[in-house]
Amino acid sequence: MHKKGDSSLEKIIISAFYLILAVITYFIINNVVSEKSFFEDYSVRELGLTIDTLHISPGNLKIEYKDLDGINFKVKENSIEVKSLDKNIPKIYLFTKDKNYNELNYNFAFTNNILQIVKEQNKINLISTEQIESSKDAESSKRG
Amino acid sequence: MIIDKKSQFHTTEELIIWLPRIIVIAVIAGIVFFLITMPIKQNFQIDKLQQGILMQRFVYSENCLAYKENDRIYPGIIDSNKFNDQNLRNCFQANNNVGIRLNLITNEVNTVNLNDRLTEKFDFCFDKKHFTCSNYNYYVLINDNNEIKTGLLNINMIKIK
Repeated sequence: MHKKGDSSLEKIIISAFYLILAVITYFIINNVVSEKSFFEDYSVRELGLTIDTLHISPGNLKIEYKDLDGINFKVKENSIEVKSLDKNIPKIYLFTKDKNYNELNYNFAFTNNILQIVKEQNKINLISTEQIESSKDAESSKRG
Repeated sequence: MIIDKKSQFHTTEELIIWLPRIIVIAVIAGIVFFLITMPIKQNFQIDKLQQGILMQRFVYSENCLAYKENDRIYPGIIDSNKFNDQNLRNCFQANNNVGIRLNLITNEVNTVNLNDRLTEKFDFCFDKKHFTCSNYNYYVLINDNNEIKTGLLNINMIKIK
């Protein structure tokens, strides 16, 4: 036998359930649609392939990436990890090392806006905006 | 402890009524999610591109096989002294996802495998869901102690997806 109070409680529980379901669906869809997720995926492959390609280049090379706001990446021993600042699961690209290289600056964490990847002889260097500015300052102070 | 059998009956009855409702809601939520994500699914397939780039390292990099004389690198000319297991393992430190078999074919065939754990699995290349495979022949010149010969560098690559 159902009482009047029972049915109103039931309605509240059902409404709460629908609300939770709607919130979960919103977050899942938002995560899929998000441009950041797309850009992360793109950036990690772009940077990884660039590093692999630099190993082939017979001469010296410098590549500059701009407008990398909100992208945080790390270079590890044989992988590169990209993630947005507000996300936890990084996207990973495994590149292939050449032992002859004074390999990339490991654990290089990038959170700036401009990135330079420089290849000189058997050395590949990743330089972020701050480093570029500080090296320019050092050069200008030497001249001064 | 007194058990109210009537209330027990009501709980079971409610559960039986709710179970199909929950299933229907879950199915509808799944369909909605599928319909929304399906057209915007973003997927980058770069396996073949990556393999192409990695293969070129053997031919173009002085650390791998490219012949070098007086600071000049000759892409397309292979230094036969560099075609050995030790040198190739140094210039191409294959991670656990990539396996390579290199065959340098002249009058004889020299073979080097990088990452044996995967090169044993070339027979499974038909499984496109789990492996990406490439096979490419480079027509090359081979510098064998200052004597130039013609030859073929065959590179087989297998990569776990």
